[in-house]
Amino acid sequence: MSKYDAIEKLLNPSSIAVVGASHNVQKHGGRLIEHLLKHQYQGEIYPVNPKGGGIQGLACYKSILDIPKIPDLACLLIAPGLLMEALRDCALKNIKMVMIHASGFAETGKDGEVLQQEIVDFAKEHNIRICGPNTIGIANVNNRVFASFSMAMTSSEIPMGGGISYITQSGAIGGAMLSQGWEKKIGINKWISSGNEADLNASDYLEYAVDDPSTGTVCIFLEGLADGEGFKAALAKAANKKKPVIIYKNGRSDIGQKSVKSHTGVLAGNHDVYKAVFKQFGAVNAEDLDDLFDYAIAFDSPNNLKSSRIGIISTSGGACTIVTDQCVKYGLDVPDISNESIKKLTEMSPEFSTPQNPFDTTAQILNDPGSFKKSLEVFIEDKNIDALVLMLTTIGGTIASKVAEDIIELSKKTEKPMYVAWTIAESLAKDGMNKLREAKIPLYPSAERAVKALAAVQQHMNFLEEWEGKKEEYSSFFFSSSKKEISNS
Amino acid sequence: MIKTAIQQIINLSKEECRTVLTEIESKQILQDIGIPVPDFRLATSADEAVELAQFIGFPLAMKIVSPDIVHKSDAKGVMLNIKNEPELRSAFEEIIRNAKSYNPNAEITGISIQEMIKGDKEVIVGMNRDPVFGPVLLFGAGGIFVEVLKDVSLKVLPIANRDIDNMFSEIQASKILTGYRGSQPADLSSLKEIIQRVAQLSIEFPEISEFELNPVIVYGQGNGAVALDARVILDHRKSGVAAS
Repeated sequence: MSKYDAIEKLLNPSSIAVVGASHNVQKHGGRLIEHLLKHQYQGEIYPVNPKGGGIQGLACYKSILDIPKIPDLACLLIAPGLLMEALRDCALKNIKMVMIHASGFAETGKDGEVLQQEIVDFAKEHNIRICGPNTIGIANVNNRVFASFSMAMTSSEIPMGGGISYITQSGAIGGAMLSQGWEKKIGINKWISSGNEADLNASDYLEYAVDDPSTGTVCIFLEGLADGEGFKAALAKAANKKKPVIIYKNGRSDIGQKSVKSHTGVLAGNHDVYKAVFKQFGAVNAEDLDDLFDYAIAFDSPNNLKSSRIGIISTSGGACTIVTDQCVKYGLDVPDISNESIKKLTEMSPEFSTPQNPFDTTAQILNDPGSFKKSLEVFIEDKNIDALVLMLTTIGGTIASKVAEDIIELSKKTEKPMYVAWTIAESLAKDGMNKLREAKIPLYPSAERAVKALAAVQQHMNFLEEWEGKKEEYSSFFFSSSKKEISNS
Repeated sequence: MIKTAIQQIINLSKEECRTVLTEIESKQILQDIGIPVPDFRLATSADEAVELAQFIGFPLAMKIVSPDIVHKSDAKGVMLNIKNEPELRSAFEEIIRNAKSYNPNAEITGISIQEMIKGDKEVIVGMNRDPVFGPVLLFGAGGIFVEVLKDVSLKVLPIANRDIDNMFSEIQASKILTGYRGSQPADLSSLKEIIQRVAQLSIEFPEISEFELNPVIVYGQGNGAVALDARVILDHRKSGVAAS
């Protein structure tokens, strides 16, 4: 079975054995079943517990061997000491994909390392693929598979139909961020907590996500890699498919690095090298944790950035300046609008506003909420403008909903992307903000974050252009074994 | 042929349990892979130094050659801009004296006599092996302040033409290379060739764990670049597992 097929079984299993199943939803083996049931998992669930009987309304099996069918996936929620026996049963049952949730392996020291190796060797021998150990599970929203005991699975509103895949090496941070993302209606569809990566690793999941037609954007919370080559190859594949991969990498201080003797060794610390690899292979580097989803929603928006001449509209003159400063900081162009646009704006705006880019609609919007829409239309039609940053300040209540609806309506009529920075308290414009989020219009609480995300999209656009010029040279490296000799003397 | 010559240098250092190549060995490798270095000869006596100076011509640079002295400047083993024979003779004695007081047990091979290279644009080209990503290539503003300025760009393999162009444009000092206030644009194509050759070397010789050319003097367009100093550090545990 290919890695792709294995991960497909992991994320989209038609049946799941839950080994270490429990009635008690305080226990991992109870909670995982609860989550599967709560979200109406469509396949068969086979709880396994030596006590047998029934668990959460499902028939429980005393042994993996008693399960009537071959489950696509076995979730092993048992102590490390019981794992080898369970794996032997999985092999007998012909189960090919297992998740190992227990911790206490390579991360704890020598004994754990030995046990982990024993498990890996056994699995390899029997063609079993492993997610984990130390994984908190997976989710596949659109197919209603929530095979995780993470508290994130209890989120009340999980957005359906999303196209973002999120791979995390840290289960706890990954789960917490996932719940925040879902709450903000970010379309995270496939989520994988990769754990210790004793077998399948972040590069494998990345490659899967790149090949997966339902994934549009990939987010990764990365702590470290064992194999740089597989990772580079996966990023090269993503670049070929023009799929954005956004990565937050922790572990930045190079403490305990091997002693180096040259300047090069000092200047090429491990984290610097990760960042260099991201840049060279077009992965979008999320410098701060907030950037990860800030960038994801920018890439996930249906209107793609094609060129980066930015039009700025705001309900405040001060805000206009902030957005412009940010654009200058990231080297984005804020051009003059056309004479035609100037004429149109002059006709419709009050005397005290200046028809220019950036455009300050002034507080006029409070008297005439439709005026914002009209100015937006002028900018959309302007040939000098490719993308818009809209900064809303104290627009709340019913006007907020109206402005949001107008933005959504116009965004559907144009290919030009719009990035909204909305600085009022969320509670005062909740309806309007949620409308924008549901329409996948990138929304940020500050101008800095909006323009930073826009700049990330623009940089990726530039990278894809650069990639066209170098992908031939790269493909011979990744897909051919012949290396040229030093040809000069 | 070239591979064998380089392999011989590596093997010799392995037999002698050395992980740092001497300047002469390092420069031999540079010559072997076609990276220009200043004309240099080894002198084992002051008389021999005078004789060699006839071929190279004044002004000269003189550097201690000893397998036991890695940091030549620390040992006061480098003297620059030697203009005539009397200066040469006194410098020879002084360098030997300094080396012996720095490390009385050091085996002294001799002193390298080199042509004195002048140029105002100094860059660094380096290679280091990352435990995850393998060979990492470094390019940046060179000279003695590299670790202070930290103005460098890193790339991993494979390194395309375009990546090397990016290395030139990614550093802060990029404008100095492309021409600033009337100064001539630097010979980037020569630098590019040097980086490509270092990359190729890193693939073919896994024993080389760190490789550094600093400074590399780069001249104006069409006039090339010269590596003034080289440092090659080996990890003999990696021998015989060549990637090629």
